[in-house]
Amino acid sequence: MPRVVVAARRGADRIVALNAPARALGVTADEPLADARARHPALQSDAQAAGEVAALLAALADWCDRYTPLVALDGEDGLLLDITGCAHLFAHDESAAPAGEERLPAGEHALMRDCLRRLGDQGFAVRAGVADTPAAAWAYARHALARDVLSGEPSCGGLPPGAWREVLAPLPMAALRLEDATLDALGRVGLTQVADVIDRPRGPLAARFGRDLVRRIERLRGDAAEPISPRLAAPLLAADRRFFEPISREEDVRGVILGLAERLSLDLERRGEGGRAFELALFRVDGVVNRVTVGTSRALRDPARVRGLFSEKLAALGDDFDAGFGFDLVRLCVLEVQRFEPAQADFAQTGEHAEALEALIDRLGARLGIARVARFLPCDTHLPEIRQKLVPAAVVDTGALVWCSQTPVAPDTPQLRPLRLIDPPEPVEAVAMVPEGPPLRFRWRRALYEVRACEGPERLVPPWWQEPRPAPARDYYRVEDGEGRRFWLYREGLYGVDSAPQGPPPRWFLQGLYA
Amino acid sequence: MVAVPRPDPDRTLLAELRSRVAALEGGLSSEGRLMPDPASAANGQGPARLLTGVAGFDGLFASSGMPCGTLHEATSAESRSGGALTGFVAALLACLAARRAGAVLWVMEPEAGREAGCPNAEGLARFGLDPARVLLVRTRRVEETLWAMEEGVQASGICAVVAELRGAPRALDLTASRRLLLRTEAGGATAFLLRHGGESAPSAAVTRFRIAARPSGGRDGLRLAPLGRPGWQVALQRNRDGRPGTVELEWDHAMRSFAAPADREPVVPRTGDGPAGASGTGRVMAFSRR
Repeated sequence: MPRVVVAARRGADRIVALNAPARALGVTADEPLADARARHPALQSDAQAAGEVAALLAALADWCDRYTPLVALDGEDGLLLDITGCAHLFAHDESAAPAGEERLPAGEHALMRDCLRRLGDQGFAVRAGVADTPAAAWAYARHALARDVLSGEPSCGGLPPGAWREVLAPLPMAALRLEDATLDALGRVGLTQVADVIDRPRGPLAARFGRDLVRRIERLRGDAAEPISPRLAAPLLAADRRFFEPISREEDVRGVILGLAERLSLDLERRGEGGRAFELALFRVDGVVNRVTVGTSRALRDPARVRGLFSEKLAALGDDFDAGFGFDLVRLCVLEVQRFEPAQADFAQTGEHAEALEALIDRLGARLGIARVARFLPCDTHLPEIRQKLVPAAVVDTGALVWCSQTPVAPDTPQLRPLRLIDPPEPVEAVAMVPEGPPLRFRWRRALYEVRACEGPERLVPPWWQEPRPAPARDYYRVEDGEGRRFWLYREGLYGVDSAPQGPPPRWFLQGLYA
Repeated sequence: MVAVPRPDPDRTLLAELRSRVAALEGGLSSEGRLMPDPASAANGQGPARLLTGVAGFDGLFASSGMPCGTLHEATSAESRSGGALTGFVAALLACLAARRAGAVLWVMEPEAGREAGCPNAEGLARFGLDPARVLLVRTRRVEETLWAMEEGVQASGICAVVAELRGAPRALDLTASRRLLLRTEAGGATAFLLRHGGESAPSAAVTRFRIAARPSGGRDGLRLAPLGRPGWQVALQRNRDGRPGTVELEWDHAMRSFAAPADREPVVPRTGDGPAGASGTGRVMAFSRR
């Protein structure tokens, strides 16, 4: 069934992708859909969804993480993998190299073969090239290999070290990845092949065609480094395990995590460090990569605790934990480290209890979310609603939590602040005997309360020195109703000061509950 | 009954030494200075007891003193009485935290807490509970609350766990609370279930306190009396460790302890026919009761 994908480009619906039967009909990419339909009315077309291709490519880049941590996106339809130092890991995967590729190192060849096979299984048609520099690999994959990837075998190949010249020299100038204007200018003077410029003196070229051309040549030759910008930051430490048969049960995954954490803990111990953030990457057979991250409140390298944190995280995922057809690669990374000195146990066990508490904070945080396990941080302000701030217990420095609760209290000092704070304060209808006096009765949540005892007022003025002008002053009263319930009420605004004679009168709010 | 393992004499000795070292260093030990159970002190078994010093309250329990290291339940009739309920539990927590090291785990659902508000650190500090020792865990569902509570009672760095619930949630049935009780007794912490506006529901908790506020002052004509000390009418509706009963309690901020309420006397002297003082102007202080 001939099928094409179209997108609106240059004022027409143009074909951006097509399958083999469509190609066999003579339809070409970038052709307007109307022209192709005129020739082949049976052509099926789909509109390209915005962002879908990019998302697919990004997912594919994440999947390629299994070969190297440095994966960069290359335009709309390419990926750049920096396999320096990674290739030898795949060397055991020995398979007979086809003719013409035997000069490529075994590891690189095996890696490329493995990648193409797995991508082919997922239904992608791929061209791949391995070379000394990113520019050479790009030129080789995009211009030297067979262009028609839809027919049959994926085309791939590698340039053995130092062999780039003979292969790349005859390629068209576009293999240098130049801008159209530069290509046109080069074409006008008859420079059409890479070989025409690759060995020329750089000075005149730069003067006539711009610095960009010279930079491209230098990158192709390997005279200048070409930085690639990886999609994900490379982890500090990583351990992974591959499976011939995919695993899918959660218990199996947990067991694998323990093994990986043991390997990581040896590395961490050697560095004298512990991990503060760990990431688990589960590579599903069908190409989906699930990533789970946990943070810890202190440097950690105990494998059982690492596994415990991930167990909580996986349990919190619940039904979202979708193993599909199973995972064929599980990787555990350390994203953040911190100095970790072995501590000596003291007789009073204070250290052990602090550690147990931190372990609990981590466990709760892994399951519920780090921000949901909080401590009260005092803020230097007199406004009750911002006096305390809830900060994640995993990150807060306990030295900052100074609340001065040990100061002795004189007998019968009034209890100034409530036990429970209602945020935001709820408006109440209150009746006072005199306008600026304490409330006599008030209505809160449709219930009427008769005030029997009262203390106040305590006047709190929001910071008047700040711009814009803040809310008016508040007069706080501590009141008790007939049944002994105690509330914290305030009147916002002062009569005759904040409100004009015709303006709205001051309003009452309820902000807290006392014991 | 849960079988309590007979403690190892060496470990008991070690615990004793630890608390003495902690006392010398001026800190709190993990085992704490809780009163040992007199009845079972001979064989070293049974839970530690919390003595409040109010005979009417301590006497409700089998061997005088509220048992620690187990599950208690405190409810209020209406959620608007949440202040009194929180105050009672905060007072118990302050007593516990003054005798034992470790953090206090406070678990609540913020959505449910919107009704009664969020615990206020300065208010807790006034009760003698250092807010720096409180860990506030905000959950999304009742199941998460129960799970966090279970984790808390089993951890060794925790001296008490409080979980706030609204009403009688379906997830907290007899099985769940029984499970919670077993976990609590296996661990070392004391657990409190705070139920706002909770109807009577089956529960395996050792006690059920029903807390209501106790009016302190009274209005004398149009003149408003000052607030006294916080007080509660505590109805011990169920007590597996003694007998049910009702007791009135007050909290003494200065001593950081419970107190039996003084006899009702007019706090503010009657002014007779004279004009009422200018209430509401200037600073109104609480009068001394004695």
